[in-house]
Amino acid sequence: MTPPVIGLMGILVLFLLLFVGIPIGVSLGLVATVGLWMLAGDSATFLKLAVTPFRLVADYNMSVLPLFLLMAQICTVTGISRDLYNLAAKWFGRLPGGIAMASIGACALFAAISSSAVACAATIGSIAVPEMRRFKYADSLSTGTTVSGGTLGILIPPSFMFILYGILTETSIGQLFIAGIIPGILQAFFYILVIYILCRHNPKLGPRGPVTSFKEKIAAFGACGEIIALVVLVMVGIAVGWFTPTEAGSVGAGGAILFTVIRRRLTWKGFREACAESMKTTGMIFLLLVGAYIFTYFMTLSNLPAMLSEAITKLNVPPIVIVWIIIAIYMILGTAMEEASMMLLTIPIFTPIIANLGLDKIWFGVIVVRMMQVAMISPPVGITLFVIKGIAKDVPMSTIYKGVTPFIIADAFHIILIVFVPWIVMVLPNLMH
Amino acid sequence: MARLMNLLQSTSRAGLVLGTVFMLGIGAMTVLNVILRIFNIAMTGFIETIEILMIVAALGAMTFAVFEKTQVAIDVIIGRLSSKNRRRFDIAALSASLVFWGLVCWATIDWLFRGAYTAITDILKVPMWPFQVIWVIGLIFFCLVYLTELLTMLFNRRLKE
Repeated sequence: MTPPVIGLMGILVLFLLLFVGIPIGVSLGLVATVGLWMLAGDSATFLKLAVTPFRLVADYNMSVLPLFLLMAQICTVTGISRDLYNLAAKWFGRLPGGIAMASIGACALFAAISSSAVACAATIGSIAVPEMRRFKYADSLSTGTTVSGGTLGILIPPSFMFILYGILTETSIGQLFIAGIIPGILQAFFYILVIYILCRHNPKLGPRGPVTSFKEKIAAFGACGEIIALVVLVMVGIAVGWFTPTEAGSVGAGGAILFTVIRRRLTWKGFREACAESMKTTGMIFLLLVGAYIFTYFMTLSNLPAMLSEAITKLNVPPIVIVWIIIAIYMILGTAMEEASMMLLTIPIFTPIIANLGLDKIWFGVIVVRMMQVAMISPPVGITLFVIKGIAKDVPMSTIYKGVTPFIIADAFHIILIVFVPWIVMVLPNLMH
Repeated sequence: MARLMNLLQSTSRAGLVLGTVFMLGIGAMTVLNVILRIFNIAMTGFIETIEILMIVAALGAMTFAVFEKTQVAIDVIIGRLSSKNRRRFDIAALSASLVFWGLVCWATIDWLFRGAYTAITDILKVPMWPFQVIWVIGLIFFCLVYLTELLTMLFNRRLKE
C-alpha cells in the first residue's frame, strides 16, 4: 500500500470508529498510531506517542485555554449574563420583537466573555426564553432566536474554536480573534434583521416589550460596565500588541475575578465551581488534542493532503469553487458530526489545500468557524438545538426546527457575503500589521 | 473494586485541586509579567516556568476529565440502540481508550528510560525528570480508570447472567 492509500484508509476507519461511539481523541489517536506504524515503523511511532502528548501539555501557548475558560465561568457563576441581558432588553425591548432582538444582543455581549456556543446558548437561553414566553412570544421565535444567538459564542472572540484552529494550523490566535469581530457583529445584525422582518410580517410572533426611560437605559450600563470595559481592554490589548492572546487570557481571568470580588458577587462556592468547570473543559480539550496532534502528523506523513492539494490545483478551477466545495462538505458533515471532531478531522486535510491555492488561512479560519456555527443549529444533531430544548422542555423539537430555519437562511447570506467580500474578515487583522 | 474506585476518585479530586492551583499560578505570573513589562522589567525564564506549571495544570485537568467521563464522542448511532447493544459499544469504547492510553503510557516510560530523563530546561536549568515522572503517573491513572470501568462493566454483566 502506498502512503496516500494508507492515509485514505485511516480516514475511513476513523469515520467508522467515530460512528460506533469511540471517543474522538481516542479514535484519532488509535488510527494515527496504526497508520504511523505502517508508514514509519515501531520505533518512530513509539517516539511520537511519547513525545507529542508531553510537548502538548508543556506548551506555553496552551495556557490560553484554561484562563479564557475561567474568565467565562467567573462571569457565568456571578450572574453577569443577566445584567448583559437586562442591558440589551432596556435598549431593544420596545421594538417589535424587541425581547428577541435583546436576546441576540445579550448573546453577542456574552460571546465577548465566553468562548463557547453551548455556554452562550445555555446561559442566555435560560434567561431569555422564559422572558420571551412571559411576553407571549411565539415559541418558534423564542427558541429559534436563542438557538441561533448562542452560536455567536464561537465567532465573537474569545472563541474556543479559533483557539483550536489556531493551534492546529499554527495560525496567529490573536489575528483570528480580531478577524472574528466584524463578521460576528454582522451576524448579530443579520439575526436582528430576521427578527424585525418576521415581526413586521406577523406582529403576534413578538409583541413589543415594556417602555423604558433613557435614564433606565443608561443605568443598565452601570451593572455590567466594568465587564464590558474588561472585554474592550482584552480585545484592544491583543489588537495593538499590549499583550499576546495567551497573556490576554490571564488578564481577562484576573480582571473578571478582581471586578466580581470588588462588587462582592463572587462567592467562595462560585469561585470553586468556576475553577472546576474550566478545569473539566480544559481536560476534555487536551484529551482531544493529544489524538488530533498525532493524527495531523500521520496525515502529513501519508502525503494525502499534499497529493489532494496537487490534484485540486491541476483541476484548473478557480480557488473560490474549491472553497464552496469545502463549505458543502462542512454542511454535510455538520448534519451528523459534532463540531470539534469535524474540525479535528478536516483541518489537517483542508488547510494544506487552502495554503496551496494561495488563500488566507485567517479568512479560511473564519469560514470554518462559521460553518461550525451552522452545524450547531443544523437538524438533527445541532448541539444548541438540544441545549434550548433542555430549557424549553414543553416545546416540540419540530417547533424549534421551524424557528431556527429563518436564521439558517440568514446564515447562508452571511456566509456568501464573507466568502465574496473577504475584506469584512481581513480589515481588522490587516490593521494589526 | 469499590475501594479502588474510591482511591481513583480521591486522586482525581487531588488532581483537580493541584491543577487549579497551578492554573491560577500561571494566571498570576502572566499578569505580573505583563505589569512588569510596562516598567521594562523582564522575568527571566518566564516561559519555561509557565511550561512547567502547565504540565501539572493540564494533567490535573485531564485526570479530572477522565474520571468524570467528559470525553467527547458521537452518539448518533449508539444513542438509538437498546441498552444491551449500547453496553457492548460502551465496552468497545472503554477498551479502545485503554489500548490507546496504555500505548502512550508504555511509549512514555520507554522514552524516559532511553535517556529523556536527563533533559534540563534551557534558561533555568531545571531538570525535567520530576515532571516527566508526574506525567507518567497521570498516564497510569488514566489506564487504571479505564481498566476499572471496563472490569466493572464486565463483572456486572456476569453477575446478571
